[in-house]
Amino acid sequence: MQNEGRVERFNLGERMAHWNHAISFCLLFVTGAALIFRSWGGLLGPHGVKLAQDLHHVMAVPFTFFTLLILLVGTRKTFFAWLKEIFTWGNEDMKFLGRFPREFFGLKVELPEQGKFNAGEKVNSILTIAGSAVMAVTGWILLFRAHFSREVLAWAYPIHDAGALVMGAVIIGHVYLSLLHPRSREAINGMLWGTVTAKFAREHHARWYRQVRQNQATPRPGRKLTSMPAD
Amino acid sequence: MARFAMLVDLRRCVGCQACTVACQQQWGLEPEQRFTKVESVEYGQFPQVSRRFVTTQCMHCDNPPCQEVCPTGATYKRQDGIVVIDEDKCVGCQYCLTACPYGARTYNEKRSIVQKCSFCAVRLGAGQEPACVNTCLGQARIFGDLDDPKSAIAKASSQPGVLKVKGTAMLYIPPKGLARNALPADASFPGYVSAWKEVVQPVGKTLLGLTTGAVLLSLMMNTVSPGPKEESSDEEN
Repeated sequence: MQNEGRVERFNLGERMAHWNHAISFCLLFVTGAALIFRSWGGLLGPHGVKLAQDLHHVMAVPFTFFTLLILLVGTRKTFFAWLKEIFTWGNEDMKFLGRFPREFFGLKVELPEQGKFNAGEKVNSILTIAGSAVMAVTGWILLFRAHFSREVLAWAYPIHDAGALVMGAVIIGHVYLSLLHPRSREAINGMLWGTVTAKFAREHHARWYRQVRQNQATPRPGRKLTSMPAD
Repeated sequence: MARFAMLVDLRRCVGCQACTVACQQQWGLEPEQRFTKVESVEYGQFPQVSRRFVTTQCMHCDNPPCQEVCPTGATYKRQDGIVVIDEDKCVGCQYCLTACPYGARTYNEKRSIVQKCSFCAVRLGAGQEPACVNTCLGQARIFGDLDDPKSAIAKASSQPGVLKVKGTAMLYIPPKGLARNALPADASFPGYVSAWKEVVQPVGKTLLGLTTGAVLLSLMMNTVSPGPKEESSDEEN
């Protein structure tokens, strides 16, 4: 069983939506920081800040609309399956969260079986959805400021700012786990090329992996295993 | 150091708006842009009623919230107390416009910058009075240095009936019977600005720092004593 092959984790639509959101968020974060931190804004100078401001306003469009559009048009079925899973919480999930810090710091730990999305990924998903909603609503209020009262505008700033900083903290952890963490960095391949090793799927998402195997045994359209040589 | 302030003797204000127009002319403002405004107030009980005027403008706060939120440092308080905007640095984000509790700031659509009363700092530099003071028909406005005991404003400010708007550089002599709340309120730092600058940003930065710290620690621990790595583990099969 050395060459178990690879398992499809994210289809093209899911990946496009993810990267649209990721790229627009990062640009929004960097340009937004120039608009609120004088140290960063001062470094760029007034023209740099102005440019950051323009870019910030442009990137609001893909961030607010394209991600959702890609998910709804490109991969509606998995989009809803994802939503359903991340809002379904069981004992295993709580156990996972309790034990995850040991996993995070590379200590020995037995993690409970997880579905396609583990409890940490569920938290990340929920924070991203909620955060994006808050950022989009407060952001568009600030863009269409003429239509809102001063009171609403005044509170939109700190809320927009708080949302950005929380999401920034979330993404630092998210990027680290997917790119650098030795036990979980295989996950990036799922988001880049669409597949992960069967070994990774089995060890990190056992419940999901069994389901994939089952579907593979009784093939259904739309669910397929790509058989690529394992690395 | 000088401490510039303005006193408006509202008993002398006839509501002619000459100050508003002189100011607009001085600074080449758009018609809807007013650094100084004249509002009429009516009070009393029929038949004992009065109609008077209250002028408002930038109050040149001791602790200006507009300066606090400006991302480029375009808005700043000078040592002589005047709050000014460096137009070359202003990017037109309008945070200050929202932060100002007195609604004293205006947005110049054509130039995409925020503008407001600067006590005519440029004129002061040339030894002239602010345009509004210069033009006031009733001589209701007195401008000067509160720290100079010989100045007209220092003398005027010590007379009875003068109301200093606390935390600002504005003083008024209200007409008899005018309620305090018809005048600009004492300066109080707006809650949304302190929530933003004193809670959200430090807490947010701490959160970013903690996450980064945890990541670095994890990276270190995984490097120093690597656990069963995904790639090298052979325990299954």
